[in-house]
Amino acid sequence: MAGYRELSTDVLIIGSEAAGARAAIEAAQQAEVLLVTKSIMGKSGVTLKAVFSVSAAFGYADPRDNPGVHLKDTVVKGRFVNNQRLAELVCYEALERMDELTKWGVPWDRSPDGRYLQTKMYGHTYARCLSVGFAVGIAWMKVLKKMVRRCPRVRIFNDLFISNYLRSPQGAVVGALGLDLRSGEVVVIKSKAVIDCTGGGMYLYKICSGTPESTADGMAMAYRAGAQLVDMEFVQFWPLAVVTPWALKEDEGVSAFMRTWLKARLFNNLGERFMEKYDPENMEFADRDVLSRAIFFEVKEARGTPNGAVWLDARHLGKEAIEEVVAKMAPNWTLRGINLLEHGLDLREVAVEVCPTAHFFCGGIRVDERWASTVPGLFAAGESVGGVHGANRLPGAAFIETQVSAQRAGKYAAQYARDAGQEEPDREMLSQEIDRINSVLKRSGRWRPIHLRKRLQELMWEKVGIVRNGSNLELALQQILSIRAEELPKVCPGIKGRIFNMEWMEALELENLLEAAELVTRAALFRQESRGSHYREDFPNSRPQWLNNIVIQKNQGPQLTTAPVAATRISLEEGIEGSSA
Amino acid sequence: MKEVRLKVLRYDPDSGKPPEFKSYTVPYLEGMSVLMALEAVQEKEPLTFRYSCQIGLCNICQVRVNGKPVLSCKAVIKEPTELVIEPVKGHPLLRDLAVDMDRRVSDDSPGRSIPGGKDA
Repeated sequence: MAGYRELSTDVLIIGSEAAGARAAIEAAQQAEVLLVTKSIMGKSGVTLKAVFSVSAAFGYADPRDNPGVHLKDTVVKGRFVNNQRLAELVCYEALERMDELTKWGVPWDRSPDGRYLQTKMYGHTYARCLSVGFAVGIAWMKVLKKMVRRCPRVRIFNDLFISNYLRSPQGAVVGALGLDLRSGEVVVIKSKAVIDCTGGGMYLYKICSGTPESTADGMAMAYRAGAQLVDMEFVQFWPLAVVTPWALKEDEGVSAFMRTWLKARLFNNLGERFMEKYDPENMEFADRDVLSRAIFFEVKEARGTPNGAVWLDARHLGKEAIEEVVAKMAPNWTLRGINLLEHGLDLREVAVEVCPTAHFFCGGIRVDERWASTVPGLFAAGESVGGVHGANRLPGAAFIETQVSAQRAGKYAAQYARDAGQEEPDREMLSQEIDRINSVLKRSGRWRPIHLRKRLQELMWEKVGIVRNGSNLELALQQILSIRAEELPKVCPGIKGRIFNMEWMEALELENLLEAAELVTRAALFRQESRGSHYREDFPNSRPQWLNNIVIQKNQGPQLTTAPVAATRISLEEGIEGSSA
Repeated sequence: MKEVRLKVLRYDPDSGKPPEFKSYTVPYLEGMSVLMALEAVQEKEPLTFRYSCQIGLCNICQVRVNGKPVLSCKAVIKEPTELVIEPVKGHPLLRDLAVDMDRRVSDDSPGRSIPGGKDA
């Protein structure tokens, strides 16, 4: 067997941001923890990019609000296919988790009475969203990093790419294998439990609000390890990402600010306020899926800008009113450290080009209420988990999911580690995986990972994106399978050395992207209806027989089955009424 | 066609050679960032540099441009020009513009890399 370095711990946590950090803090109360990330903790990942809302039904702004109403909103907007038990836990335990963050130092915005300021966001019945200016993600990571550093039992390992879980001969997850990027050494980590906190797979798409880390690593690895995944077809698009100026491409902060605080309006390239056609009641505050589709259709039908965008325009407010809001909320025209005027964004004078972007994976690893997957030893928390949000996620929900899921996964993983002890990995599997990692480096071939990745991103955007149809999905599936079989083996890192070879990691990530691409596409093909963020032109309505979840498990290849939605708290009647045959 | 000329400090830790500058030309786009220019180079040949959020929040894309430390994603190239791009000082060099952010070196000359991950 080729050489490797060995590490061991009680609980291995993969992914270091909102979910990973919180899971580490929890697990460290009972166990030794190794927290690894393929980049640098607090300097990467999607958490930092979060702009505004964190939904928690304290009922301060509106005493009619409570977690029960929040749960109802979550299920209604999730189009009734949420895992209600998980959604319930997230809505109810959010309060304790947010108060805990307060204790740890998160400087939430406050209302004049000193309690949390709560804003009403679209999709929520009452005002319940907490915030920290326009940079809640940065505030959270500062605090979470500080709290992780206070745990003596947590070791952090940066620049360590995990390529696969390790399994025992009986199939339990007993650790993971990876690549220490800095030294180029293969690393074998034995652990009694693993918590996957690797986030979503938005990098599957040409235009995304994720980061280069969002390559669906955890979902792909869990699938390979035999775990069930669920709801993979539900990829949420956020409608208003900036297109130009180029340096602010894919930023969501500027547009969120414009829409929420400047009441900005959307216009196509003909000057029409097109949301009249699609959702006259909610207009620019329509649900994310409705808004994303509307913009998609406008652009597709040649009413968009040459850059494939529409215009977000606040000028109707008038210069004085805009100046007043800016002075209060973005003094000096600076939002999250970006000076808008320096980028040519004088919002009194110009409109901003925006378009939808792949934003969040509602689906992922299937878990129970301990956030334990269907494979013993493997837990998961945060976005890599499927089921909480159903077919469409509410604003502010991802963040509370990270904390509730991570606290539970951390606690139960640590208990599991204590009870299960360390099992030995299957030697054959271990040897094969080490060979696989090394062989990728030694390949000679036609394409660098970047080129194949761009092709895949283009394919997914065109055929498995905001608007889908059966024949495009079939074509996409064929192309994905063909890329995996014929072209992936010829992908070769352009850098040959072992030390800090990011192209080596990118080639390995490409395998995860292709895995996830296949699973998303198969699920999208299987669901012959439209629901939430999954829209099929050939089946444009929701159908009552599809009030279920698509579960995927590896059985030679991907096996897709359906599981009925369990209405543990919220009746599905409204969901049935809202659909047509 | 307007162009930006880049002189980028390249470093291959396996080569045994010290870092040296290599020149590139990429198309100039109004309002483009240094990061976009580096990506344009990377499209044609392997070049190692770090980035993540691309909107000035994560700080991982730090480089020196004309001697000055900046975030490559926020540094807007205001006109077609020539830029010298090097890694930031104070950290061991890993490859090209990527440095080991967990270690510091007091001697800020590039080339003193310390391979091997931080002991976990």
